[in-house]
Amino acid sequence: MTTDVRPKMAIIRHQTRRSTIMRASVVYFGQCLQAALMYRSSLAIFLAAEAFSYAGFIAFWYKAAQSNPAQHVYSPIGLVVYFVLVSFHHSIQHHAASRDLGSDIRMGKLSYSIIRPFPFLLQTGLRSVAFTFIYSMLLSPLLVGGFLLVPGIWESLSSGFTPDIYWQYPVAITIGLASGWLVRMLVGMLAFDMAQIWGPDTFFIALYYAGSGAMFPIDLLPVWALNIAKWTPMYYMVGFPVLTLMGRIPAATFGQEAIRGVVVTMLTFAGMYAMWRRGIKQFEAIGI
Amino acid sequence: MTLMTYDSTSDIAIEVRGLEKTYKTYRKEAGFSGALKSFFHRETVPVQAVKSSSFSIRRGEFVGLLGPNGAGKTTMLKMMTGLIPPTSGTSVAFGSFDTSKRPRDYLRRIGMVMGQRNQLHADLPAVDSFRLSQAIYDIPEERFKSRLETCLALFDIHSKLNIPVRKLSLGERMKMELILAILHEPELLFLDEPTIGLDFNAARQIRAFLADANKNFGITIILTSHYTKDIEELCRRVILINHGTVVYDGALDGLDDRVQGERQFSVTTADPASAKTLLAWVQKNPDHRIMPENMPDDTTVAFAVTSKSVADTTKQLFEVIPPQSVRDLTIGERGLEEVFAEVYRKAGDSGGVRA
Ligand SMILES: Nc1ncnc2c1ncn2[C@@H]1O[C@H](COP(=O)(O)OP(=O)(O)O)[C@@H](O)[C@H]1O
Ligand SMILES: [Mg+2]
Repeated sequence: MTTDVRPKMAIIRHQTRRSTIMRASVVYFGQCLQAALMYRSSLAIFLAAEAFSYAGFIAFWYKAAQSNPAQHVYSPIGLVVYFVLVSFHHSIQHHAASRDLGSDIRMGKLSYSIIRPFPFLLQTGLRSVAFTFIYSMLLSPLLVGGFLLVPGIWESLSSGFTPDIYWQYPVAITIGLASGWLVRMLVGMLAFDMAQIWGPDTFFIALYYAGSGAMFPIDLLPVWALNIAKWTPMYYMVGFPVLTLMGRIPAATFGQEAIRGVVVTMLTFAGMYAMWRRGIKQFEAIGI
Repeated sequence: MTLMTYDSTSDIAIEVRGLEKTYKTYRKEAGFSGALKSFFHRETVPVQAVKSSSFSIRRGEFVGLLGPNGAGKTTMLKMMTGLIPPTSGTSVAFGSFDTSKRPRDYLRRIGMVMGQRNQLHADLPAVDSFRLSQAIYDIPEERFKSRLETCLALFDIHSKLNIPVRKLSLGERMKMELILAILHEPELLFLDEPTIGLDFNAARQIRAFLADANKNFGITIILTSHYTKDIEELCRRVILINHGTVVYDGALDGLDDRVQGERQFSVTTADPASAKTLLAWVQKNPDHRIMPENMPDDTTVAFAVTSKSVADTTKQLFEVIPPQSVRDLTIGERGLEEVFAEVYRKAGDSGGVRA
């Protein structure tokens, strides 16, 4: 026979309030920061690797521009500025986000998350923001140091500065981080349909190198190609904020580009969200 | 169905009706050539993990879902929590929530532990996951502290609170997982093989913890296990599942009466002739049931009788064959494992039994 035991704990508020989600987000964000800091050796090696690869880049482009200055839109020092800025913007995009999401979906973390009253997408978003935050905190001193110590680059950068940059740059970097995160989520969502997503992720990286400006100054692309790039999230991930900082986007066209960036971001969000809804509906979790 | 508001007067914790789940999987032949074939063409195979199942669980119950590996227990739990949608059928909790829609007010009221999966953040100490849970479920500080203290004391595991979870042993981790699952005082707790792979002592502690959670906190618990020990000690009611269907649903005691109340006789005779005589006698009496262990050789006869007739049977047995023809005789109680095997076998014959 069964006995009816009334729950004795009606004290907990059993309704979700907005403030609860806010508080949970703050706590979760704090924990992501802590977790990121626990990976200190990996962080250090990551930073060294990024510095190393971009040092090679900068040297190569600097030499190339010096050897034939007349053919270049950028001055040699302008190229150094460009790539120093790119190295920062490239590094703060959370590049592991797709694969992290893929393994969350495949390995069971999603299973627990979707049966807690704390939205999973919010959770992954906070995790990416935390990584970006840690990276920028660690990279900023390097960046500032570079600008102060290497002769000529600060002058070169600041010569393009206008007061507009103080509001333009925050807009550009926000669009850049949002679209970058969303497109990586979109790729990660493919884990609902395939066992491993490194194929699509590599494909995405190829597009990223072609259209973001991480490998070459993006405004060296032919106009038609640049116009295509501007309709993809990749352009906004790196090229857009860097060109903005360098004052290479005329004030008259900035607004137009920013609006296009917002549209692209919203389209990426729509695609990502549609894939999420579809995925979660047919989610079979994992055996065991 | 749009059931969304919590009905606190409902007696029912959860009710499933005609619940079914069919998974899509792929078949791949063994070896490299199989892999190559499936590279070009994948054969989709539906796996019907749960076939039309119905039951309802009242508040305060401690129910065991029991069945062999692959029976569909986990799949049922997943549908009841809302983790996966059913292919057909409904699962309604507290008379209010369609679980497949995962209404947030339902999610706040449940907890889940999967013995094979981690909810705790592996790189951080358990206390951080507990704090996150506190924030998500809005648990007042005082209540959080006292609750945590009670749980830690039950497991005597204070010293592990600040160690990164991935440095804990399996048993310690499982204890922390359980604490996490009940910190927010869920009204309904789902446990999927919580004692899997644990040593005797840890499993015992966990059983004590769960019994306490059910008794003192009034948490309705649905537990799956293939360890009969868990079920025997904890569950007043069992739902036996085999091949995706409910083959028995009722009190554990009820199962006892019907099958466990039997005693099994195993008689080894000195010669095949006596065995034959004995077997003929066993077959003549409708109260004797031949067991699967009967006649593995020429001299062993195995049959079962109700516990009440043990004395009579023993007396009669020695009238049928003389004592000197009996080389060995054991009269044993049938273990729960065998009882379940018997029920599964019967269900296979007749398509299900209900208490
Ligand atoms: N995600 C999945 N995809 C495909 N088949 C699955 C999946 N999960 C379980 N199954 C199959 O469904 C059946 C029931 O599995 P499960 O519910 O995990 O059983 P149990 O928990 O009782 O061991 C098994 O045959 C298993 O192979
Ligand atoms: Mg299982």
